Amino acid sequence: MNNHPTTQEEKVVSDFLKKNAITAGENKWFTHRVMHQLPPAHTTPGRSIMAIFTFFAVVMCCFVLWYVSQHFSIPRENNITADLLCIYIAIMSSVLLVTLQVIRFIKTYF
Amino acid sequence: MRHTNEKLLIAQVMLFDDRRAFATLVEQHQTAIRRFFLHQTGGNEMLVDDLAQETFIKLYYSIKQYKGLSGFSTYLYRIAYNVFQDYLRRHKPTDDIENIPDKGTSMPSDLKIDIAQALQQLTHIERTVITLHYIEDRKIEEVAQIVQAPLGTVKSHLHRARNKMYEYLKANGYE
Repeated sequence: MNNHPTTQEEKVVSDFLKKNAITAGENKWFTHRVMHQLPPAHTTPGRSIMAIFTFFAVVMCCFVLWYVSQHFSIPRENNITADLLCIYIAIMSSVLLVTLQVIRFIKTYF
Repeated sequence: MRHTNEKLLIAQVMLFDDRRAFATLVEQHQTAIRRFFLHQTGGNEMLVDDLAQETFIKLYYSIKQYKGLSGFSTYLYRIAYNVFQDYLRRHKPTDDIENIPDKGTSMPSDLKIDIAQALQQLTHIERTVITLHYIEDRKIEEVAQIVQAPLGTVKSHLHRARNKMYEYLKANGYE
């Protein structure tokens, strides 16, 4: 046997072992068994509620933006009306909520 | 294409704890991992299944530590190698030699039994490098990553193991 086998020799040894080495029998229940050994999938209720809340906040935000663009025009002079103030607060709150969710997601997974 | 799909599955498991994606990963890699343990244990299929199962459970818990610096299968083999080392620490090193199937059981040919026995003549590390390099087609660099040894050490293990197997098979009438 050579100290530094050539690629061809390596291939011969590899083919010989692959052909003649013992092979594992099929076990169709293997994956099933492994999956049963895993811990139960946990969903935090708080996290799910927060995600649903954020989703609705974003939908509301989009609706409000659409509504504003259809029914209001930005006043020429800088006087903010009560309606506009409410809309600004709603948008700011939604943005804050989404930002918090994104930060939580990044902190959890990265 | 398969690698892209595999990366997607890994990401799904990492980010969303997707059990279906994990089951697909187990399905894709179980044959190779079970074959690896089969050569390490000398053919004890029940032990093979237990060790392979332990490997995938460890993978589940440590998948977030996978950074993608090496191939996913290399990472998985490394877990399998560590699982087998832990098993050896818990059991006597001679235990596995008893597991070589006898002639006339489930083994179809004498040559297969002789090769299984030749593999059992090797040390654990030699058997690992032979299995990974020649049977599982891993490059020497990947084998070095799996067993966490320098490249030169892996090459010398490989050389010594090849010679030992050659001598064993020659002594048993093969040329």
